[in-house]
Amino acid sequence: MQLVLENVSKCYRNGTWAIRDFSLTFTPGVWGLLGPNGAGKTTLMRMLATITRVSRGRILWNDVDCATSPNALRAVLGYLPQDFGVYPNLTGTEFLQYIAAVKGIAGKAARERVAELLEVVNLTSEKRRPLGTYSGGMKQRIGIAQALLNDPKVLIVDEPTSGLDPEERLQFRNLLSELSENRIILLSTHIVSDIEAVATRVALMRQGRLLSCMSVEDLLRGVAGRVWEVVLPSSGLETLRQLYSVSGLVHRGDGVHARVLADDRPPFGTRLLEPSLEDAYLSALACN
Amino acid sequence: MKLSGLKSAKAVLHVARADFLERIRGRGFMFTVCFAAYIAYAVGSGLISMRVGDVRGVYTSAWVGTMVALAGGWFISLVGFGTLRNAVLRDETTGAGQILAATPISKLSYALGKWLSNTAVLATQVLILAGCAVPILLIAGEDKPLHVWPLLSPFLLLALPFVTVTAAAALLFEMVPVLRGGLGTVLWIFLLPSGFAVPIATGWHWLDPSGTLAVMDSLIPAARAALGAGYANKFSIHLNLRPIQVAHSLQWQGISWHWSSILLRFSSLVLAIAIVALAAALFNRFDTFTVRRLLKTPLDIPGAAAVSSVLTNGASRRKKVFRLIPLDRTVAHPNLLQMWIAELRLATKHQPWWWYAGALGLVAGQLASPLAISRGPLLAVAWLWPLVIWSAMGVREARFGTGPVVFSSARTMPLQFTGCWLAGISIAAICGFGSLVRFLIAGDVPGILAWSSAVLFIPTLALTLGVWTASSRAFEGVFAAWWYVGPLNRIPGFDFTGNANGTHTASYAALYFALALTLIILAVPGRRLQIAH
Repeated sequence: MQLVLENVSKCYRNGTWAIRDFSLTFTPGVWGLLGPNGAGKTTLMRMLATITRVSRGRILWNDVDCATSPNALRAVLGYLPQDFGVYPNLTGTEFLQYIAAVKGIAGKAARERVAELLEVVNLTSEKRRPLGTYSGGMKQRIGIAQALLNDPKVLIVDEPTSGLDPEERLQFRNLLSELSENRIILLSTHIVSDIEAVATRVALMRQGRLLSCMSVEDLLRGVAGRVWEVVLPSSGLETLRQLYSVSGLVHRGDGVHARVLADDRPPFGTRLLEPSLEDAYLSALACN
Repeated sequence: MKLSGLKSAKAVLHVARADFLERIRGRGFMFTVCFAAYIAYAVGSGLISMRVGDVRGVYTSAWVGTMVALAGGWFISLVGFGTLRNAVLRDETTGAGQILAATPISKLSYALGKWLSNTAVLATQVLILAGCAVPILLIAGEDKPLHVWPLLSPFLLLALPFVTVTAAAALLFEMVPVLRGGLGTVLWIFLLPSGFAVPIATGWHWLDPSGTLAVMDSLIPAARAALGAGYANKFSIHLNLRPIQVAHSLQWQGISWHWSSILLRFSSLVLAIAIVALAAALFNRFDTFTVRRLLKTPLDIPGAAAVSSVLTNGASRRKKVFRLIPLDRTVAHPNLLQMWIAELRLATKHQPWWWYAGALGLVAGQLASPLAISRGPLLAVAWLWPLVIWSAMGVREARFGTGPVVFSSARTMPLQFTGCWLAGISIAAICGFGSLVRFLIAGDVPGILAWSSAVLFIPTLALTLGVWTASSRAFEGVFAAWWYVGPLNRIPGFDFTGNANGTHTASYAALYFALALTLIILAVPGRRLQIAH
């Protein structure tokens, strides 16, 4: 089971390249997609979800070209877009049953599946309410449920935790971990901690190109011994920023505690820190 | 803090400019351009004509200009009205309204800006018509040379003031929640003719948005002088497929405009601004709370608190284990019947009880009434009744943002697209079921053919316009105009119910079958564009 991207490019009508020569092979596991705004993550997700055409290159699902046979992938695809809507007059149950019909899931199986997923996303008690009355977080959970309706082999989730509160986010992470066995899960998010929690491999993107793709451990290994904590008065922050790449700041009673990326020990009061994925991400972006 | 006068004026212009640019860059604008061109063609080909009694005058510059401006103003107001009614809705759905609501712009400034944009869209159509009037006159070749003022003044002084009122009415209908949808379109179909009838009945020039009275004041005396005593002071804009007789003695040179008559035309502008002021007063400034209250939907969601409490309960969270039961893939296969039912349910779900009661009443009426009534007014109304349902076809995914979810599913075209089409056809068949039974009992084969062709044609038109324009307004406008011309005014050929088509019922039915087939073929690439772009 593999999803292969071969030199995939996407050029918009105005000549802007959103994705350029992107090649990667996705195998079962949770894949995190990280990159700054405008890196092309959502475009890539949309192309993988077969709703945006590839300008150049190929996307292959188990050796079947998705451009000519998109249904091969669509039949096993679960997709949670970054921006999606619901039919406000339908209840949660009715909406999921409708999407189940679209996905070709039959009557009894659909009913059981919908009930199960409403339970999973904790909306059973709200299943008879029109979706128009749902809060943002509840709609997001309905989105998660619809993505899982067909027991997808490929699950693409674009900014899935936006609108969820911290508790709900934690639940969603658990859900992804549970699902990751024997499935390809692609997770795109700005929230690095989400990827850190569930992803086994991380693809870094910038300006439509793949910068690197490696395991979280390898990414962290790359910045090991290069993350320092600097404590300084807030007046010195500007100077620090001019000299080093700063990946985090915390204001405390004794001054500002800054996380600094540097090959050599900075000339302030410092101690070496355990690197986080955020440090690795910023370091990778700075290097490229 | 309120904006100063100059800043308010600038704000109005910027609202108008942004809205106008947004419209003209959309696919729907091409539809309005094509429609204006078609109206010009219909006038040029004689399908639409201006008559005095049963004849027309010589195609002078004034005659052609007035005919195109009056007919154009009428049809643009009928169809364009539907296409305009998304100026505020667009801001609401895109979220831009929330940003605007947080700025100091007043409700009146916002409404004026939107009205100006509406007017600009309709004025563009008037401009196209004016441009087309020149070749119409030259091709007819009945009056040489071309007189610029008599040819173009009707567009400036008749059509333009008229469309300002239409633009204002479209805005007002948007501001009243109950008139936003198809109900507003239906109401407009019946309200618009009163814009012609009231001034003619009362003689009130100041309440004559279309300028028909001004034309009649000038044309009727000229016709009387040219046609003699046999002329019964009749004047009409006519739709007919048969050629019309020309009265060569009638060479009308147009309205002699003077300051008082020009000022009277400006009364339409005053009326338009009054309507805009009313619209501004009713504008909720994107306060969704107001909308929720109107819809009787509580803002305070009790369930949300319940869910939140469940989620914040650490113990329950720890207990929760997510394990999806593997899906038996043999049950996941294309099921058109199931999709059809799902689409039917989705289409009818939000209809209030009275809609079902009305549909049921119409079907019962068709069964119980004499055949002439059943196949005539009752069938006509029965096929206007589901206007809102049909106008959502092919548009729903764009309107509610469900496209990415629906279109990333397997076999969307054969399954969901077909299911949606079948649901539309089913609704047409159900609403006209009573007449079908009557046709079957009477053994009226042409009637059955006409009925079947309309059942196919109406939802197919809706689906095609929906997928290509991504808006329900195009179908609402076109269908309202079609319904007004055909079933209501019984113009042969346009009456898809077949009632006015006489001995040609079967051949017109064949034409509607062909039209439906062409439309569904056109809809497929439109849907493919929606699915993957």
